[in-house]
Amino acid sequence: MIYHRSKQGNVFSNRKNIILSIFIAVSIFFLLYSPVRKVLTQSVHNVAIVVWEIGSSVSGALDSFVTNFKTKDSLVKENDILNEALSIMSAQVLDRNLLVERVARLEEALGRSSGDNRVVAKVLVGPGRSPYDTLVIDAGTENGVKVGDLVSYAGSGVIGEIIEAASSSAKIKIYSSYGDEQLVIVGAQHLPVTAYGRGMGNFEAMVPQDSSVVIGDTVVTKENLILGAVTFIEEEPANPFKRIFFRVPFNITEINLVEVIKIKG
Amino acid sequence: MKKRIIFDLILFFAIFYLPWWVIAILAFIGAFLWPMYYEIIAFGVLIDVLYGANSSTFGGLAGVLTAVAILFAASYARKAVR
Repeated sequence: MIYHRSKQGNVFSNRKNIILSIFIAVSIFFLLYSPVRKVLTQSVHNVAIVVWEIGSSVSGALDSFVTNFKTKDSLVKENDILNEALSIMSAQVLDRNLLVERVARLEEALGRSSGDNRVVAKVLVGPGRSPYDTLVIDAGTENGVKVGDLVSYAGSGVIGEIIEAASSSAKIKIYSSYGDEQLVIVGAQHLPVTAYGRGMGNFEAMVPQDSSVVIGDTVVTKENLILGAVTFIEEEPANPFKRIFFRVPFNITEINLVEVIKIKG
Repeated sequence: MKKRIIFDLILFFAIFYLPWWVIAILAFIGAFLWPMYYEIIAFGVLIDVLYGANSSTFGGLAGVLTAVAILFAASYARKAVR
């Protein structure tokens, strides 16, 4: 038996496809046309900030509720670990402060004091949540944040740059996003190489086989901000290059506060 | 209709709080359960506006393009199953 599809069904299906195509085309136009996208971003982010703040308060309340049920023993252990970490960090900060002071003095002597202007911002959306591997922070154009500003964590480690700024929020592109290219300087030899993002704070780069890069070497950006430290080196004698892997010195998923370094001009 | 609205609300809030791959799975379920699940495109736009920028991957259209792909994949899956 042969079944014929009804003509009416075909017309209905075609109409559905036309509606869908128009809907997709309009959406793409809105997203590609910058002025419309800007207005959309501004209005959506005004609402989104409230939604994220509510979510963060609820999660905070839940956390403190769960803490009540933790055993005393585990809390004591956790406290010991945290105290140890704190003392290590205090020592490192002391060392860092001395270095900062020394750098400032040298810059002053050379007559090119930088004195960069920083804005501290809270991270509303961390990495891993969005398909773009972006961060959303609660500082925007009202706070002087603009596209191209660098974003650092813990004072010196740079994590990315501002790609879009609304009035009270901004989006950050993380340098370690998969496939992202970045010009970096490796180690004491100041070896300039192109690093490729491998996601979640990891990078990969190729350096000449005879270069003296070792595990633990610091990797900095061209602005002289720390990007990470070499964690692994892969070398084959037949290959003229060796592959180095480095990562940011902190857990990128646990970032709560960042500093936006305002670029002058 | 009531179930669809509830599902839409879940998906809407998921965009703000859950990782993108969970949203993709939920969107696929929605597109599989309901033919003409066109709101998925609006959710794609929302993701692009919330997290992307014109300088991002695919010109900041990853959300919409993924939504279209999910819509077609779910439509083929539905045809294959039924």
